[in-house]
Amino acid sequence: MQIEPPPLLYLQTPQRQRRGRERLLSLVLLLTVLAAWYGLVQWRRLPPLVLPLPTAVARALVQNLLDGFLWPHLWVTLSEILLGFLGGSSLGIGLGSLVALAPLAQRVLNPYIIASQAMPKLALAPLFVIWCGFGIAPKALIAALIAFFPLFENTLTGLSTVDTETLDLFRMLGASHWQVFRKLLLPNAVPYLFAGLRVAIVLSVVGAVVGEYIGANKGLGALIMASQGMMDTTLMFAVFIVLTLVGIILYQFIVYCERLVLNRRARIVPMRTP
Amino acid sequence: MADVTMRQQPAVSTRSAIGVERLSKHFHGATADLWALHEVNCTVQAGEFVALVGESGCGKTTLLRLIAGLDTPTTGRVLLGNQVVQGPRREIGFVFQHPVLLAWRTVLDNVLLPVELTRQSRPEARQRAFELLTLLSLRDFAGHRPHQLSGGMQQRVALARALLLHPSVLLMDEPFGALDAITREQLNLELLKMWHHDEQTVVFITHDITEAVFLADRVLLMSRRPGTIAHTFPVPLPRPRTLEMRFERRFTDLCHAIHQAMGLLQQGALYAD
Repeated sequence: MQIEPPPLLYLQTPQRQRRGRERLLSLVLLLTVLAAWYGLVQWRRLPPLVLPLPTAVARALVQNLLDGFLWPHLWVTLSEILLGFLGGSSLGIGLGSLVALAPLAQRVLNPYIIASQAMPKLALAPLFVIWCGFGIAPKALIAALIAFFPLFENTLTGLSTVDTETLDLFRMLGASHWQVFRKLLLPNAVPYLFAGLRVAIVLSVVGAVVGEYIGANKGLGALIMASQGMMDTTLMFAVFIVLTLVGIILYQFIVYCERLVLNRRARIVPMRTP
Repeated sequence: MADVTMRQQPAVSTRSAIGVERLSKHFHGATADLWALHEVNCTVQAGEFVALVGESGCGKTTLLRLIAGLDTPTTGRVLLGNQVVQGPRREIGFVFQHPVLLAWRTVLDNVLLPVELTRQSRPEARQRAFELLTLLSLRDFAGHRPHQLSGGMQQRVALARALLLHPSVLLMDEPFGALDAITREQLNLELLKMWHHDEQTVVFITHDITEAVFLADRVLLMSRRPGTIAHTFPVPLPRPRTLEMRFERRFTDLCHAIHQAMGLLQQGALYAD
């Protein structure tokens, strides 16, 4: 008699079908949470000031998007996020490289870089408002300060994580310092850089919004403060959703770039013999 | 730019002898200071294939790195042709224990790395790279990435890279140690084939006595730390070598003799302690 192995359902299902089913489950989870939210508000008769109905939030979101009320705020916050992200990550990559490559720079700069990270940057926000006013600049500055550190750390790690045998190979081949950096250290650090960028983009959103809480007349963070003043919790929820979507889209964009670069590195190149 | 480097490191004749003169190396470790090598003397003729055997930790790799110019000796010197080795030179091909391939490059671009770093003309080198890949039966994998190859194939790529610039000296640090026996045999044969082609001066480290005897003209046996050359065994086998030779009497006798000498060294060290 033959003994049949137990069917491994999970492994036997074709991948596409499986993924479809997983997506469906995610959606079901979302609907369940929304329904529970709806039920809770109705059952406890919560006033909209405490917790608005999900349907009311959706209505407010669509309406404010359609009549163009949200767009200028969205645009301001987005500029702050992107300016901060670009500035902070460039500085992080630059200083990270400097510290990784020049031991002197490491000894001179390291204590101050660590100190700058140990101090809560959001605490600086009121000072930046005094310095730069209520415009885009102070928020971009906070976002940049927060985005700096993950890139600094990851650049440093990425550039330092090269095994000695590979360095010896480059020495054997008579490579210059620049060639070692350009052809070995930098490409080796690329996955680390992307990991840093993924963290930094999300932190930039936090930096920009919290910056706007301190003092701003425009932007999604300012809108949240305004809706608090107006006791319009429904609008506040709508802004939360917009902010979440902004974060997701920016994050996914970095992930997309990362895949593009890493897939290119894994591809087999067809070659003809000369 | 290429001219400048050439002037700094004048090319030794296509085949050059290696002279090791009273070479010692002392390491200042974190826990203990130690002499890795003590007064090593040996010569390798131009075009000769020498295998270096010895138990692990006896200083084989240290010796090879000193010959390569990757480390500086504490006392003594290394001569390449008639020049003192003072740093890494491009005319030395080095094959490491691991393939050391750049994961983001194709096989071809890995092989071409040496020429890319010298900024010499490309098309010629490309031709040479394809020749080498063909000789090592890797032609169809030129566009693949290192992680898509087996361990043996990766080490072949490393060999092709080391041979790209026609080195006069080839230094190999247990290059096939991590491979299975069958792949290693295959690579031994291919290495000899490449060597017959150009007749570089080769120093090959291994802890496998059979491999040493099969490949080399002479087998140098190193003593325990601090390492010195304890014995030299000429290999009286004709070339080209064949795998069947390993079962001949003179082959097995020589292996046996080296093995015994190694055992005596170990015992001697035991008594000395």
